[in-house]
Amino acid sequence: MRRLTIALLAGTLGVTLAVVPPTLAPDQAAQALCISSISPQCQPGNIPILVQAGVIAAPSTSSAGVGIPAYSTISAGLSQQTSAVAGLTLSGILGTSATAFAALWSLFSGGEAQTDAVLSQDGIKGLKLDTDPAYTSPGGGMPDWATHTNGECFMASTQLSDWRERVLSAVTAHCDPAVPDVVVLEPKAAFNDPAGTMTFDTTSPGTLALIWQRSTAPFSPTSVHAVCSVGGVPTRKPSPTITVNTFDASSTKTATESVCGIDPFYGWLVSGPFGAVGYNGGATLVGPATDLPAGGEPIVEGTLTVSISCKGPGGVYEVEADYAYSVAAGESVLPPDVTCQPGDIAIDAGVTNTSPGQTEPEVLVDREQNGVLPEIEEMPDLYPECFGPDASPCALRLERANAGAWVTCGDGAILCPDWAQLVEPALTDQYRCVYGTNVLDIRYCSSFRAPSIGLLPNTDENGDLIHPNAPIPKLDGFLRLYTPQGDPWLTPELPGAFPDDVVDLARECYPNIDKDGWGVLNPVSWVLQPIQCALRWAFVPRTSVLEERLTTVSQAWETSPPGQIVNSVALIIPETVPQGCEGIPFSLAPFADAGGPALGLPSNTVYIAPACEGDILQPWAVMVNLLLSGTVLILGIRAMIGQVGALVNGGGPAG
Amino acid sequence: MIVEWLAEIGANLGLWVISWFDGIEIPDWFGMFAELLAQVLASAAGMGAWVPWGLLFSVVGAVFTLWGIIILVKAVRWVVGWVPTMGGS
Repeated sequence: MRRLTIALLAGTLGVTLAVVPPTLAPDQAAQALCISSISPQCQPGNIPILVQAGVIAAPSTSSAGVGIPAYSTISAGLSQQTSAVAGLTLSGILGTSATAFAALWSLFSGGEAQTDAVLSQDGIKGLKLDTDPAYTSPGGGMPDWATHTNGECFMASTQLSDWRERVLSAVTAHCDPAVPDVVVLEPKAAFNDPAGTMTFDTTSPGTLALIWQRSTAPFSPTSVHAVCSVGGVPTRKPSPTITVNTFDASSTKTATESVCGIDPFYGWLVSGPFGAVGYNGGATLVGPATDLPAGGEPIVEGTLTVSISCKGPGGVYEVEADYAYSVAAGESVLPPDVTCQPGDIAIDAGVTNTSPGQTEPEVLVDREQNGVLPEIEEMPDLYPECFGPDASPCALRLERANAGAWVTCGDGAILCPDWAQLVEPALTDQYRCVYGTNVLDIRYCSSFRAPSIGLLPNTDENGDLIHPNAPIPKLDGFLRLYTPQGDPWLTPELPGAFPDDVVDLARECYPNIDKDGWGVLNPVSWVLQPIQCALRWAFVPRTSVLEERLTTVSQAWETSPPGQIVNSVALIIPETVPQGCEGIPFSLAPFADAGGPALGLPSNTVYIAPACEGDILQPWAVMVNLLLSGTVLILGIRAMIGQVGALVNGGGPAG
Repeated sequence: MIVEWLAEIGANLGLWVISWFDGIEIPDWFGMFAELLAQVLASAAGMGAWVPWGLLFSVVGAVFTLWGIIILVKAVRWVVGWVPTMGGS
């Protein structure tokens, strides 16, 4: 069954908390408390559609002057990744104020054949590739996904084992071995991608969480945090608690390209018992940090309330969880999971914090401002067959017409690189956008578009990322691309708006409105330009179209019996003109004596009619060569004259 | 679009012709024959002093090329003959 794609990462709140400097004095920033990785997740089988990241910060209440320096960077670029960004001003949280960002992003399909929301192994929420070979092309796909363990998705078994040993060793050094519990590592991916979370269950070896990793962003060998169990509460140790400097980054790429088939919009995705954290980064603390000295640490207490709205075929409902924390400054807390029913989606989420003595909770992540796109929210209503506990995941895919049938455009529409160049009605004649078994308006496949080049808005013509933090295209008819600074590159006004080159073409086809437009008497421009354009449209074929046709015929020919015969004959013909003079080799091996070559000859191969320099037949060979040359020339010329004559006289071609 | 349309027709025509041979399997003896022929040609490589291989290949190639050109010309002439005022009715 064709399926796949809702790459809706979510159901997870990855709230990253860190200091934002503007309202903090340097010494205050140096004493910030960071609460990280509030990670509720959907239940196994749910579709995660929401990832949020927020930032809160507060100066430590420590009177001991313990410094936790430079918690100054927080999920940089997060706002650029989000389809909705809400800036929050957190006042009074933990006794101070700071600006914070709460970010939400969601996506609907970064590319076909990339993901579907299915229950993965170990009951961990994950995104899985389609096993339909029709969608696993080219170079991507993972038809044998189901036979792989989650860990193997990350790296090969041996490498995984090695990595586990390194991690466990590091964890042992920092965590209490008497309290084996879930350990969460928060590695920071390369290329400035925000970090995510990898869960690691020391009590159940082998239950490494899912990890997806973009092939161009190897797992960072540094910036790994350990989250230990402290009093039954998973608590993150200050950064960088663990540094795996010796980890071979190159090996991290193993299997991610060939097995995982990463969605180019994902830096990587991690999922586990504490929830999935994707591109949002979870907790990214950059800069040195110092472990607090034993005893005397200031304790910060409070209650975090994480709530989400879920929606499925049965309607909307609320899920909420409270988490009371009591941690030392500089440490982090991980609240419990908050999940929707299997197969449902989360449509908004929020986080509040209630400190002791407070009557009104502080809003850390405002759910009113952090809902999913309307197009996503209405999906369970429009396509109920794709949601719910028993539903099969549906894919958004682009298809093209081919000989009366619709065929897939493949992974990320890579097989239809020019589709965005088309305009109506050719566009809808040749392409259609499908979600599950439903045909959508073609504009819904705008996520497969690119301005002139490339396949996806965030990739270049080679498929490489233009910017790892660029936003993910929305499920709507508009192509929105952003520079790394968040400025829009191209914001078409209408569904089906065209890339720049198409717009340029349109300008060439009609009079320039500023110079010789319709309002200016200029019949030449009025008539000539449109006619030129029409002629060009009619008679100048697109290279891609011709190449496609040629490729189709060539492939059919090469696999056909006549093609195979021709190829066989072509292989017989020598590449260079034979010019040897040693004669025809003849093997005497069957007559060879036991002790050496046959007949006492120096070799088992004798040559018939050798005519090299010094051979007795060499003068005769020259004469025969001349005689044959003359004969061939005469016969050839006679044949060609006969052919031409037959053509002129109207007869058949002469032999 | 017109040229693309013609290209589409040409491609479909080619695919149609190729489809005539669907289901036909190349007999084993052809492969053996080709292999034998390759061996013979390889053996003949040492006869370069006797046989003007270069000239022979050139002449044979020229004859077959001319033959193909003539067939193409005849085919074009036949097609054009269907056009009114150019030989057709």
